[in-house]
Amino acid sequence: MFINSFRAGFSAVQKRPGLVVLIYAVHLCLAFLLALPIYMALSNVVGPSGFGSELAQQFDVVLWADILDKAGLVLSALRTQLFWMIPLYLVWKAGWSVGLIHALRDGGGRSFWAGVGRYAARAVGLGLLYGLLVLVWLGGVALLSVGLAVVWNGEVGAFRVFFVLAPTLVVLGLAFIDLLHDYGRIALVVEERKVTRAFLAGVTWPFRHAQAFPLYGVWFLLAAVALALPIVLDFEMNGIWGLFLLQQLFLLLRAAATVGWFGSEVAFFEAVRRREAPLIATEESAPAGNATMGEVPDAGPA
Amino acid sequence: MLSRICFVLAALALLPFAPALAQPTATAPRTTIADGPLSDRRVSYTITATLDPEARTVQGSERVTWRNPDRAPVGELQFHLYLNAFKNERSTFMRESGGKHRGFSARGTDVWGGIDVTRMAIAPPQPGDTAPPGAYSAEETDLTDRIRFIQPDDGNPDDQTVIAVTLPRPVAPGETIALDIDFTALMPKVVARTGWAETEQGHRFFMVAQWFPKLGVYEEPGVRYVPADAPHGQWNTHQFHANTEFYADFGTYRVTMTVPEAYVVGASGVRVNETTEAGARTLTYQADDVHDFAWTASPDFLEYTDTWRHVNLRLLLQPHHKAQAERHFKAVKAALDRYDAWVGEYPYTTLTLVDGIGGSNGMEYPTLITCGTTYKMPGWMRLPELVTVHEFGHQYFYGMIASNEFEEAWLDEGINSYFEARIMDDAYGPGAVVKLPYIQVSDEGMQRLMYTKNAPDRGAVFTRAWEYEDAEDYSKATYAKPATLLLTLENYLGRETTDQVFQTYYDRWRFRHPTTRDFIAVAEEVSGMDLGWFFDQYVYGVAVVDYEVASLRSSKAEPPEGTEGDWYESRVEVHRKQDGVFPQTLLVRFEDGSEERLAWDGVDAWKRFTFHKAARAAEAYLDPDNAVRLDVNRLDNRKIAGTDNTLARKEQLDLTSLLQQVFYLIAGLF
Repeated sequence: MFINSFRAGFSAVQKRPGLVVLIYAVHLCLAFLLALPIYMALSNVVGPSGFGSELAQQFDVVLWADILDKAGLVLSALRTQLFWMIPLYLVWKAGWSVGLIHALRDGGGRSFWAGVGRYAARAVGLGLLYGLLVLVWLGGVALLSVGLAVVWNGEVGAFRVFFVLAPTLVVLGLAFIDLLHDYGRIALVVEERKVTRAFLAGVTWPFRHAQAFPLYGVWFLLAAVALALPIVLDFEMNGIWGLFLLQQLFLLLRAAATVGWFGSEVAFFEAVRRREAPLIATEESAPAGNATMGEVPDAGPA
Repeated sequence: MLSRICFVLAALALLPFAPALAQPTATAPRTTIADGPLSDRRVSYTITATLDPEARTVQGSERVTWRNPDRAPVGELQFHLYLNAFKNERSTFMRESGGKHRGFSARGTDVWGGIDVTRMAIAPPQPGDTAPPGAYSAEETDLTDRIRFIQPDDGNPDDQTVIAVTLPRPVAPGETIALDIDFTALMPKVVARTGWAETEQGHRFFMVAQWFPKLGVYEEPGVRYVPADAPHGQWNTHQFHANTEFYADFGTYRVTMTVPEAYVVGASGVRVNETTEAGARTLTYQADDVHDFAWTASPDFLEYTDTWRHVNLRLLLQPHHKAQAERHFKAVKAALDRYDAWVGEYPYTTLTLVDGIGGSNGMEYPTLITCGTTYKMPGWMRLPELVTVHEFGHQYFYGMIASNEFEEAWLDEGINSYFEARIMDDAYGPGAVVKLPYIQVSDEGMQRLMYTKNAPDRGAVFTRAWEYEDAEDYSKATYAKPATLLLTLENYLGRETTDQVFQTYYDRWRFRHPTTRDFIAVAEEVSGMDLGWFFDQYVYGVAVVDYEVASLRSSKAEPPEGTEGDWYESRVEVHRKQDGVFPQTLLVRFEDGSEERLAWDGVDAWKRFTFHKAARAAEAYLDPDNAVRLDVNRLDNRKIAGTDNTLARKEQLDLTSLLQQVFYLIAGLF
């Protein structure tokens, strides 16, 4: 079931490349717009100076300090912009997650936007509940770290607690909660659950189906590699645009990983449902089996 | 031939016993490579000290001798009791620092320290004393009751960092007096680079510095700012302030310290004796031609040794930093090489590098420096190297060229920061301090930023250290600004002349007490230039350098007679935006690839340069060689005819990709 579910993720990417492009394009547009003030600021401050080409080639801390002096207001505005953009992005992420789940369920023939429209509000509520879990986890890690640092109060101890243990716990914990969150969203969409029931389903379902963990882990690693490649690889030889285009190629792969990731998890969830509830699975899978892309009417609750 | 072979065989046979045979004739290790004294050795200290780690005390007895250098008798001696700065929150040090200093916080019962002089007496006559025998009656020899605290700087009655003792009989010119002093030093929790701290292994580490009653400096007429025709000299014994360091006379130190057997000891000078008995280790160190003595003890030090020419290098490292031993040696050798080539010889035979704990790090004592690093310090961040190079530099500036750190701190910290920048950048390249794939920070760049972006118009370099408004002004004006102004001066005079200035300064003033005035005199003498305009503005004053290319315009013009084609009049207007004046170079590039390089004295508030050429001016660039490091805004030194958005585009695209990554990361975790 694990292998089939994993493959289903790749099938989802093949079947619905438009979703990959949509996810990629929205991220690109959002980031491009946010980065626009940087262009304006540097164009105004550095453009007339003649230092632009040199600085693009080689970092100069003194000149950058002068730039920050002059463009500081714009840059601090960017920080503010990011501050409020992140919550908005999380709302959007809640929307496109359920949109993807809806679009990829039952063989992948449903409308993405219909899923967004129908489930986004509940997905935001679900996200708030999981957000609470995240806060609890972060608070717990913080308390644990401070407690350990008091006990293990040397330089080595502090390093291990704050630079090794705490970041590891935060990343693993957040990934774990994200896994639960994924299945909560799937339950919300596939089983038409209410927010609290979807939350509980997400919290319990993966524990009853342990293969959910390695499935998540594999996609997590693939996504992480796609995300890290633009940073790790140095494409300076290709010039400014060459570097950007190569980075975008990897980021397109990252968007594909998102679609594949959800595709795998939805397929896994549905396969388990079919196995555990053959009657329901038969009833639900029948129309999907006959469907063609984009034509399937949204099914009502089971 | 046979006899020669027999001789060689006999010699080889004796080789295993060579150390044993050599032992009876072994002489004490030399403290310097000089044949005789390097300084006038006006003082000498013979100290016996016992460290009690549990009680964190050092019980000590010292015999201190002092020779009156004046032509007038001197009836009073003054001593520093530096440790009393950490006696309570009422000392001048604590009042000025607000109880916080480099990680020290005046909280808890075991943080305070202090020094108690329990007995002070005129020493019994010694063979060779210049004092007449029987000069003092029995009552007169005990000076304990004559000790009084004085506060020459701020009158704070609670400050007990300086004592004065009126002698029963003045010390005659040229006469030497010897005192016996018993004292108990209570080591504070590490503060201002002295005290105790707990090691990773749970033991006690001690940095025993500024720990004994130490004579101030008696400045006779003609020394530093005491007029040569003054009737007599005066003591220069400042209180210990939050922003001040030290000042003392050269002499000899012989210190015998007893510590628990498990403790590893590092100290100024060379070890001349070591015995172990009844669980205690007793070591004797000799240091000559130095003005201070510090030592450290910890049961957890790892010891590494190396050599550089005549210098025995010893590194005492915290066990969890053992991976960084080579970084320390490499850095100190880089410094030794370059100081030797650029300034002068390091005459001492030892150098001990101590990896202390917390606030004990980053300090200099004669032939002993504290460096400091942290666990897993990444290789791209060269802070251990920087601190090691900096602290080693103090062996020259204040170590040998012993300016007054209280009154003219820039002469040691500032000049040393200048050499730190040169050495770091020369040894480690453009990313000397930080070297990441996309961000490289040089030491010179770091010093420049610390000055130019930190209220450059506040706090003159020539200011008594405790008179700066705050620690930030002190730090900037004492370290970063002098480094930056000396880098600027170097570019003005040329590297070769600058090196000659420092070599002459070293030759002339080592083992003496120079002033700012003396340094300027050497610079002017060697360069053959009047540099008053420079030092007046940037050392004695707070002038700020900021020039800009205000405008660059070209318009069509009549061609000269007899020529054809398009001609242009290009006008470049340059401004002096602040009060600092520095000669400038203006480079103008034209569209046809030609260039003109012009000099401007930089005195006027603005100046317009006009060019008549067959091509438009494409670029005007003030200080194209980046020589005037004092300029607080380099970005406005250059202007082009159009707009170059290469950087703007690159950063926008980079940020676009980065933000996408951030969003995906958020999406992947929430």
